[in-house]
Amino acid sequence: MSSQSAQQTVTSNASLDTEIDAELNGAQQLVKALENQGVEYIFGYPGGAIMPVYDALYDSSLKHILCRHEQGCALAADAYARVSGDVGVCMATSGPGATNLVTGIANAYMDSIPMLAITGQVPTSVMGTDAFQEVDIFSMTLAIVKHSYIVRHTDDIPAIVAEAIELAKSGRPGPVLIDLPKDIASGNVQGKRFIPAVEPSNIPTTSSDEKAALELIRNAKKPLLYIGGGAVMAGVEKELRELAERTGIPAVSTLKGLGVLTKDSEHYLGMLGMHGNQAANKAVQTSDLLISIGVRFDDRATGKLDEFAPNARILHVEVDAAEIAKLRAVDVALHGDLNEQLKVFSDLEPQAIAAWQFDCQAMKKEFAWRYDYPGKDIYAPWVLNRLTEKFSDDLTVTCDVGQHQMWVAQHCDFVNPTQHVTSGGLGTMGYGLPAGIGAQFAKPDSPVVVVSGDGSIMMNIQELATLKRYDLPVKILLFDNSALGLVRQWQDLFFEGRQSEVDLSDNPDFVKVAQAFGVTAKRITHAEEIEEGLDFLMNTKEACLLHVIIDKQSNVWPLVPQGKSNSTMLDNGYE
Amino acid sequence: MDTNKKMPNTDTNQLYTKKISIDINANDGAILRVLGLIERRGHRVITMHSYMPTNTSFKLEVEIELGTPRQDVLLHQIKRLGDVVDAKDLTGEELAAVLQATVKRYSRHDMIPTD
Repeated sequence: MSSQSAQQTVTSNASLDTEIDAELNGAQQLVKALENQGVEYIFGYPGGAIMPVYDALYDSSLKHILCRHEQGCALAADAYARVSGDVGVCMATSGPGATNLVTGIANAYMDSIPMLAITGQVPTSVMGTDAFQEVDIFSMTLAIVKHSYIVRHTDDIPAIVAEAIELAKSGRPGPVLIDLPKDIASGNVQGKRFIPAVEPSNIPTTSSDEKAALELIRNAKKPLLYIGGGAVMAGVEKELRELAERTGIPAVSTLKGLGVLTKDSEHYLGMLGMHGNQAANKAVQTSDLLISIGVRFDDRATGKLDEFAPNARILHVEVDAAEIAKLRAVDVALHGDLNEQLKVFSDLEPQAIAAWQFDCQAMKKEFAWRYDYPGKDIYAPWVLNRLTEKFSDDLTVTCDVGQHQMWVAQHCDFVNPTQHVTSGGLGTMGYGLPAGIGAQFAKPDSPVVVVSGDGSIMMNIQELATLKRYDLPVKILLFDNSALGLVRQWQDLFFEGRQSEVDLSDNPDFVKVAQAFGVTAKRITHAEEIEEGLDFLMNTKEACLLHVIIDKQSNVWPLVPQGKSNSTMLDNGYE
Repeated sequence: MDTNKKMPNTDTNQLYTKKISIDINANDGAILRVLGLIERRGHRVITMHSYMPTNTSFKLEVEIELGTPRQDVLLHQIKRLGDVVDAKDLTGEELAAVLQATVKRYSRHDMIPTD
């Protein structure tokens, strides 16, 4: 994805300059600047060092969402950004408030999500003295932000806010941190900014390799579209659907590319990678050209890198120059905004690849997901398949991390990539529930379902209180196998069945827990109750939780063992 | 072009290094941000020198050991940083042409005490 590849300038950036109102203190300037930038929601939690900002919020039109843990704030802001397309804003006080944001900031960084994180800081007079609730959050987050600021002068605040939001959403999006000392927030504005401006540069939109790219495709016998999250960030779903349809080139997608092509697309083979569809992986391994669009060759997608797509040449279409040839050498690269780069293919004719299409179709048929589970227990993949069948196409599904996350990716049928909100890069357990909150604020009139597991839900279960506080009709589909299922599965497969610290059979009664928060809840335990349970989710108007008991030994198949080639997929069917 | 492949660091007595020149806005943490990225991406910093040509900018010269991670990718990663104005080194044909001038050879024993 992008690069603001290149040149930053130290000169003042006129487009980001903002007027300074000397009547306002720093905190009021911050709030005004956020309002001026069109920010609607702040997911935050107050505390000592950030109190001047909360005082300013008292008179503001900004809508502050009080989560019950700062991590919940950051993850909700992340999901809000993914679903709304706007920058997600989260805020916390200094010290533990700031450190509690860190996981959410890293989550946004790994998935290239535009986020603004605002932290209070102790007054400048005591910075560096190990003062109460002082941590150097600036240094702690250097490796997980796109950029960050310590505000040294009250005067800088309006320009920094404008610049931070622009940086967060430009090029390859990412999180930006503003650390605001308390005395700066309380101080009055006196003059102009002191710091040099950072100006996002233009991304090149042309490439000299267009001819070579087209030649590669035309000469390929087994070309394959390999679509990643970059395509989603660039919003080129329509272009890619049209390209796949027109050329007849088969396609696979990454976890974050799900929904760009739908399962109804004739030549779409599904998700590749560790828990991908076998047809998708086999197609990649036999392809002679990977047309890689907005991907970063993540290890969960490629398996053993040296053996990934061994026969394929690589055409990489990518907005971030730093991703091109980072892990896999490329034959031709088209660097730039995907909206522009994909125009290179606008005249590409239908490809004469009938034999390859036939092979892909045969694999697609052979490895299609099956739902003829023989037992009376609840088969989670079937529940998820039915979920997207029953709900309308404006459903948003937010996931936690674990077996259920992979089942969602495999079995939910998304017709739009923003329907699927998942922690792809960082794999943050506890993401699902706060993400559901963020998603519901982004799309208040559409259904939001959180798919979680009994391990993940406990990591941010306090956010049930946030659902109740804001009367959010978020629906929670909670799969419970009384275990950390994916870890248990790996221990069974690769650690000789030595199940170490994965048993969660002492879980609380989740129905009672939900009810204690004022959330309607229901439990199902047998396959015959699935439809009734999903109807409960659909028809309950307020926040609700469906507790779904599944077999403790349920596994996710297929599976590529870590560090192995995608050619070595394990699949034990319903075992 | 992958310059690393042309200069395998197989001789344990030799250290092959290369210089990168980076122009940075003089903001809080700018140098730390660049150095942290270089090390985090798997490159070993051998020497560094920085100075301020103006009140608002740093010039940072970093000498890194040539290793497995690709330097051309590293340059792009450095350029992605918000404070970085420009970053460059000698790569490809340019490097081949001036190899002797741009690659220093150290005795590893001079830099790393032996047990």
